[in-house]
Amino acid sequence: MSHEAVPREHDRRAFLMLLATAFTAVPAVVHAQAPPATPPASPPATPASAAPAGPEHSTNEARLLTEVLRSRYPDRFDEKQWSSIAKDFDDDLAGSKRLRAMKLANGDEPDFTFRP
Amino acid sequence: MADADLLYLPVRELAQRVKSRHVSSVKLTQTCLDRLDALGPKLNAVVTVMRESALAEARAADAEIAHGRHRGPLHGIPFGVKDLLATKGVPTTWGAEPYRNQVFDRDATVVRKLREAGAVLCAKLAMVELAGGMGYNHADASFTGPGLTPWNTSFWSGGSSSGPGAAVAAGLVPFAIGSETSGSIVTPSAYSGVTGLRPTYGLVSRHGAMALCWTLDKLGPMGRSADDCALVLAAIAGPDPDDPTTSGRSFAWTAALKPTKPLRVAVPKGCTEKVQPAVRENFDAALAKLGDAVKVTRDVEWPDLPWGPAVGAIVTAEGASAFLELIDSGDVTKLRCPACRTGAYSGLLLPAVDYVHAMRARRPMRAAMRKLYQSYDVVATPTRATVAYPIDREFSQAYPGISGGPAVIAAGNLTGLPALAMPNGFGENGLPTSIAFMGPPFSEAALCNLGALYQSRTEFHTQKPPSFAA
Repeated sequence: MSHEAVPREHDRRAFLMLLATAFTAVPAVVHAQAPPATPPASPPATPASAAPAGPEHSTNEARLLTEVLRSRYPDRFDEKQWSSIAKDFDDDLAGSKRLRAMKLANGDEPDFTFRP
Repeated sequence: MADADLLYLPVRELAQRVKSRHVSSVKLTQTCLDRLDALGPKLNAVVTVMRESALAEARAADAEIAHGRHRGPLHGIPFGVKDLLATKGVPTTWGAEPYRNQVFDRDATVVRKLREAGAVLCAKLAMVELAGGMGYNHADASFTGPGLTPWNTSFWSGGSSSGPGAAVAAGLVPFAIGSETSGSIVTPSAYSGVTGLRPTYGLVSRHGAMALCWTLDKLGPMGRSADDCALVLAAIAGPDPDDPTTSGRSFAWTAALKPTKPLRVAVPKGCTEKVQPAVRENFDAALAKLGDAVKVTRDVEWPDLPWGPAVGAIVTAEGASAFLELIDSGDVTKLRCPACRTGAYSGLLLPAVDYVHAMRARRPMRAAMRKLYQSYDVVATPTRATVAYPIDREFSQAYPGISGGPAVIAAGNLTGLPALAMPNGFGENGLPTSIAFMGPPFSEAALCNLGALYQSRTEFHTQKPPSFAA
């Protein structure tokens, strides 16, 4: 017996809240583990503690996600590029919303097959 | 006949001339190589010309044929491949600066198969960097520069198989191999005015091809005609132990022009309303040309499913994984197109649940297409809503107000369906328009027969771009 899946937006919001509170602790760890292998191609970005990235019209979710990336790659992009990434997040989030609106039954498996 | 005109002949006719030794493979190959050298740069269509190895292969072909050993319709015929196919000892750049000096020690299965069929590899052809997987928004997205259509070099040849499209259209090679994740064979076929065949997922091995998206990537032929594409497909299709996604099926091609009974053709609702006028007129005229060979039903409801978001999530997630090291290291910022330098980063945080949800959606999507194909044999649409984009502006600024119709390209790719794109006339600025036929899985023979019928009644596929003709 299967049940229709229902998008659970509150879970996503909770996840994003977690990200928003967690990213301040991330930079030192991530930066130490994975510094860029090459110099950034563009002027250094502002530090992660600066104003949230992204154009004014970006959603709060997109801005938060952009900040997570900024914490990972603090010197990689300039503000124009961070704005572009925020826009990408906006697009991804809009796509995600449309995708999750498609009703799937619990028994609908992904379209790939695992063969041991 | 001028030497260059030879390269516009159908493969079947070229093969006959080579077999009967009226033309040597060396002569054909030399003509290709000279045109690739002279004209390739004018179209930004070529990465590497393989002069020495091509001439050696051509001499071997001529010698075999002289000794009575003819391998088939591709024996001695020159070709090119999109530069995402590995070729032993020769750079395979994936169109991207960070991979400009990359050299593999093996040939891709498709290259091997074509050489076994006696075809002569002349060039690695240009492509959009990383097959467009990083999110390009402008034609200038390759270290070779924007691919230019030979019909009007102020316009794009399409992507991501931009070199194969331009090179075939300009008579630099008789046929080429392109790849499609979501639109990268049919779009350059449309913008360059050539015939392109996107095979069913799994019919052609991808071993040795750059991976962008394992569950969507496909390789297929781009040529002068449907018959040419079918001849090439017959050589490259089939199982490959090196690619576990291959279906086990092969493809045998026997041209049988007119179908025994009219094919049921569905025209999706909304596919001609928001297109350029010439695109619509040429599409309607093309269907009319097919006459009683088809029974056309218009305004067929297209399944209302999230085709675009699903293909977007899958390409984003698989592409980010395929190029994680490039992205994480920052080397992706060496790409040509500014949008590609940043475009992959959001994918690093795409929720896994979105990817899995998209993959789950593919089953009901396939079911929806199966249901559609219970009532119809073929879906016909304009391949693209417009002619080629100008190279001097972003895609979104190219043709404001032309939004196209249902997401047929995304649907076909998500569900692994074959499609044939063919030139069907001309529109704005002397640029070609195109019609696409899409069928159920493994219906390539029916599609190519329908295409061959159309091309037997028209001459758009035989046209030569004036600036590049002999």
